Amino acid sequence: MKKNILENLQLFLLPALAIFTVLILFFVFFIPRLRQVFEQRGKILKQDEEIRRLTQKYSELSTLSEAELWENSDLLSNALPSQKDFYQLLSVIRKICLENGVNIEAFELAPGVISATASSIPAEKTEKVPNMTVKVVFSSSFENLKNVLLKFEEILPLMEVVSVKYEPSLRDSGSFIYSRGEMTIKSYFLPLPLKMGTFDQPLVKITAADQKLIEKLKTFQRVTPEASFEGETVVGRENPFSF
Amino acid sequence: MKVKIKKLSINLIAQAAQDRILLLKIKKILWRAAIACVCIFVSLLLLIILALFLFDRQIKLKQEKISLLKKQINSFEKVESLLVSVVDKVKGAEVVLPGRPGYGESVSNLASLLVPGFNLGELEVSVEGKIKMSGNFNDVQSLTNFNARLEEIKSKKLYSKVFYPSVNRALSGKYNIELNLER
Repeated sequence: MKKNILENLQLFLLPALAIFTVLILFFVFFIPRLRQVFEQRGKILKQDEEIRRLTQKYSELSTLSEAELWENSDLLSNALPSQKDFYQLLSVIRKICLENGVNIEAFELAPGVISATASSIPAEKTEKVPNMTVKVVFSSSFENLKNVLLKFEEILPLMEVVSVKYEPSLRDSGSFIYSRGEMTIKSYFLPLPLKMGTFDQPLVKITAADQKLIEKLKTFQRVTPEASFEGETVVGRENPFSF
Repeated sequence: MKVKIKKLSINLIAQAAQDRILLLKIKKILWRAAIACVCIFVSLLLLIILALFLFDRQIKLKQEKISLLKKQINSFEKVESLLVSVVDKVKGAEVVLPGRPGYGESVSNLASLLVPGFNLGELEVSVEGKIKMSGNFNDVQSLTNFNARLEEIKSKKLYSKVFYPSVNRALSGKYNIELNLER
């Protein structure tokens, strides 16, 4: 009887073993490979998406004019300098005032940290457009003051006269020739962005509104600080404190 | 007359032989199942290996294309950084420019107020468009002229509030005024 059972089992052993082996191989080998196939398919889809994005970015980049961008970048760097350059600010204010017959007698400003550039200013700690304020004591006629106020509205770097206090000190029977006043001027600067564009990010675009603003800024007068005093041999920077 | 015939099933094969045949039948089915399993498994395996091979090749090719595109984009690095910087600064300028008060109108209005015979005492113009001024007039005619100009400015409706905090006549005969204009 026992021999009979063993004999019968021997009959089924081989096919059963084959089925069992296939089942084992299915779970051990086949399923991980199948998973790998799906993973690779997902990877291909991701690559397709990346290729689409990169191709689009490449075609957009190739249509841009480097010369025009240089020009705009130069203009905008003039409008909003990357660094808090108080020397430049004072020089520009002085130049504009002198050109319009306003005599600066004193100034007061608190530049704060001037070494702060894009890499050292954490984004969350900065204002949207950081600024620096300078208080200027001046003497001028009302006409000249009027001209200066209007001039500050159309120059680069962008400045804003926050307040003006004007007090005629020299009166000549009703006319005020040279009077003294105080002007608070706000100057803006904008550090360079921390990220200058990566492959993964889509290309930023200059919109029609941006273009309009650039065109508007082009009409503004660029004021560059004077490089040197006439007749002097300048070594290093001009002294901004010598008004 | 119908005769009922009873069917009898007679198997002359021995019981042991019958069992043996059944076992052999089961064995045959099992073998077929095993062969089918192996065949299906092998074909699926071949398909998967083929798919893996093709996908792998595709991934490599696409990766090469991506690398090439990145290289091409990299050659425009300067252009891109310029563009980012331009857009960033434009956004900054968009914040600054509309917020800036225009002094053009204020100063031209002020200039029109400076009539002969008016001595400006103090003038304050703030960023919100507020104008505070004080001064004195040599005579009543100057004050009348000043008022006429002020009426003109009022009619333009540029200021929401126009008021005199004080107007007085000094012993010297001069008229002192304080005037506030608010946008």
